[in-house]
Amino acid sequence: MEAERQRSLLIVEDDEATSAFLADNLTADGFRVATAATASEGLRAIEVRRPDLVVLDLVLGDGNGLLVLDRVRSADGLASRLDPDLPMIVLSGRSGEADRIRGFSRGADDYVVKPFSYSELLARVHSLIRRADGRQTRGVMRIGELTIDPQTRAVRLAGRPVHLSAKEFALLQALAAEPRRVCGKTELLRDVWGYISIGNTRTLDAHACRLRKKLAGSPRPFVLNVRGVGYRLTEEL
Amino acid sequence: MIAVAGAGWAVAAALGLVALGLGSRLELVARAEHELRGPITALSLALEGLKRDPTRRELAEALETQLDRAQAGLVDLGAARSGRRATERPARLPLERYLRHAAAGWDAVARREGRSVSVAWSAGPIAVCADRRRIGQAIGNLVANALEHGGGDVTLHGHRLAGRLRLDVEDAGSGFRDGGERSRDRGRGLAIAARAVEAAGGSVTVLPRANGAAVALELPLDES
Repeated sequence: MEAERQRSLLIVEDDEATSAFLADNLTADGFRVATAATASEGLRAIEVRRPDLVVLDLVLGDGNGLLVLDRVRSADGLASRLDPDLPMIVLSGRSGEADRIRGFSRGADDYVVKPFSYSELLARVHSLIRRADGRQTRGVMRIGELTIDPQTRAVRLAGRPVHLSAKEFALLQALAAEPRRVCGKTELLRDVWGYISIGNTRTLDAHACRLRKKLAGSPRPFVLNVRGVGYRLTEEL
Repeated sequence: MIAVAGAGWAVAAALGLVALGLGSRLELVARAEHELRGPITALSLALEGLKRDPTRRELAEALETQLDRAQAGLVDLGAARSGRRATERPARLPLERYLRHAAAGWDAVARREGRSVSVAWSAGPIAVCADRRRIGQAIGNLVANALEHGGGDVTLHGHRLAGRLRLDVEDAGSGFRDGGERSRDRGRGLAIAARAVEAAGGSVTVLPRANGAAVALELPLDES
């Protein structure tokens, strides 16, 4: 049986102590946790790290967390690297009805007032991720004979299962999001490996090569190298 | 006519100044709330982490009862500023465990003066349906009263009484007989404790005692 995938969370919170203790607890409960202290850092981390869920404080040093909500919810999910359906829990010191309504109307999936019960926040995180999983289940991608199920991480080529490592799968998923677009090497290193600056591209080339070989049983070639630029999944749909 | 109009402007200006003064006071309260909210959230999360260590769990739970009292105060501050009733979060609370943790925290304080705070429990494994922050606030005020204004050791007797939990907080001090400043200070703590358990259908009563002081806190049991 396939082990359950470790979920990634992003905490956008400018209070260092709250951010650190919350990250410690969520890590101890099995999540992979990243933190950001400002709205701009938060947006950048959402793009780069593609977390499964964001815990977002509303009062941030460089602006209001509501602006982060606006940016994510207004993304088209295609040209932008932001997923408009990303589950987001708002943390706020304001408990009034109008404040809650404002949070929900701007796109918060949940609204938790500080100080909060950690157990309750954890239950809300699990609940939102469960609901988001239901949405992803319906999102099986098909490109010719290739099918990719992001939920079960199952890949099939002409009905035959293809076994991929975690990074190979992440690379395939990144390329399949826009199958004909050439994804730059910097972009792939950032999205799949989380590198902020361009590193050694040999790792990427090696993974792309292995992925190409594993998907070689089809008349249509997959994982095409665009020399000096990057990779695209296929030439035609 | 001019004099009347002048008086009207003077009243309006005075009301405006009052409103400005009130506005700036409310802003100060809002800032104080913000300053408390952050550290309380951080401390609460830190204690959650401490509870994961079995050797420190008891200490963390004792400290948590103190933090509950601070959280109740913060909720009251917000309610006072906004002019609304505080939002309660009632939940099933096994009381003996909570009470023992609260008493352990206070006992550490009492021992510095050669006194003690202990629990005598005969109510069995009961639970109440209440906001735990309010229970922390009520117990905190009653025990703090007994330590600050009473004397001798403090005992918390928990027992069942006609479908309710009754918790008698007893000390061996001068009681409520002197009617002086100590009694007035005790009265404020009693009023806070009584208000804290009101939403859960509870009450606080001063018991007649020949020696010492005794206050009874009663709460309906959660039989679900």
